[in-house]
Amino acid sequence: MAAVTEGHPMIEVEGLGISYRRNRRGRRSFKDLLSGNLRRKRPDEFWALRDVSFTVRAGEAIGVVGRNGQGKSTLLKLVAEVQLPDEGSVRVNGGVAPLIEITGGFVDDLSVRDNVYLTAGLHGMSKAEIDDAFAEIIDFAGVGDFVDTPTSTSRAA
Amino acid sequence: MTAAPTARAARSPFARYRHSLWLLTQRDLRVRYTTSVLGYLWSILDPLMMSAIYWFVFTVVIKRDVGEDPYIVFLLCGLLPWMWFSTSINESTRAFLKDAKLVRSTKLPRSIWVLRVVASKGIEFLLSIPVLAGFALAFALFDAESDLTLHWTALLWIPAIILQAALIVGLGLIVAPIVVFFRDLERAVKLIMRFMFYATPIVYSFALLPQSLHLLASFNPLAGIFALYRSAFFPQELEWLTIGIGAAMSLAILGIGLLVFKRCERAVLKEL
Repeated sequence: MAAVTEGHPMIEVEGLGISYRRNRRGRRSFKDLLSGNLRRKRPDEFWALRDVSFTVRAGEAIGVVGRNGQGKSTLLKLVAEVQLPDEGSVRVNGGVAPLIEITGGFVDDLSVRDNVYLTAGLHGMSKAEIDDAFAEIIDFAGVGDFVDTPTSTSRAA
Repeated sequence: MTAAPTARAARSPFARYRHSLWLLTQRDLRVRYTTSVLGYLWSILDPLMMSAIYWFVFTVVIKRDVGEDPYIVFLLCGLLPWMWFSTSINESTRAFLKDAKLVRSTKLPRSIWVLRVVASKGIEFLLSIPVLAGFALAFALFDAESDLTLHWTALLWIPAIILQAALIVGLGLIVAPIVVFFRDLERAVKLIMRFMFYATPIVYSFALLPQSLHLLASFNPLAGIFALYRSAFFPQELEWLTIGIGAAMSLAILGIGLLVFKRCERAVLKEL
């Protein structure tokens, strides 16, 4: 990251809020879905996070502490922009790699190699970058000899 | 992934979207063509089989004119784009559910999960066009009685493909998020597609519908789009009013799709 100096804001979170339904299996109507008014909350919804604001500057390391179910991973998902907030905004300068569920999308029928190129590509890496990192990725995953076998079989092995 | 951020920032969002769409489309086609020995043959075998059945029923058994002559060319002009339409809509019901893990772990614009379906099925459609070309060529060369020629209207395939893509994307953007909440919609869609197959002029010609139904049938955007495809060989199929209504409907559906999708996106992510 060339132009980034120490103290430059990297993650800016302002007034962040997200609400979930208490009962996921509950009935749902088309009206719920299409009603644009997000402020009007139905009683079976609760705010997992609300009015969260902070800034992370370059060079800072931040830890998030909390009990089970208090919204740590929800916050992470919002910062990684894999969930969208109901209120407030998240601004990220540069790349954020969510390490939550990162191996999730592998297709069993494709080879390990194809899967790595696909997933890394979807996370924004170019082909050249993946070429460079490929050996490291395979080494890290410890599947050295199986890169060209279908993912389903190498998982079993 | 240390080097990644610089390049990531350098690429425009649009270029990134296109690149990711291409990756996913490639993946779909690769899965489709490497997991079965027949591969490509499968994508053309289905329409071939269907054409053979309808050709047999209407020209050998019933011997009644339901379309233009040669019937098989007339049929394929509707059947191949229909396959693109129906397989895309059917698969867009699973667009989010099938890739739920990837959707949850990437920040790509969510519409890409619908577009990848339309794109990969669209490429399969393009790859199936040689079948139609083969039949047309065979009739033109070997059948002395038929006067099959390719007219300038073949150029209308281009707007036809664009309109159809708009229509499918629009419907996909409506269906995909809603199925996440109402899972039984998946079955309803299959049923509706079966009905649509007969409600759309595919095995018969639009002109054969009773006059009183013409206006109503024009509101099925596929009627106009298929008229465009068919005019390449049968210029008399061009019904400009139907085509106009079809084009307007397609664009309206695309607009509605974008709106519905925008509204549902947050809720879909929470539900996955």
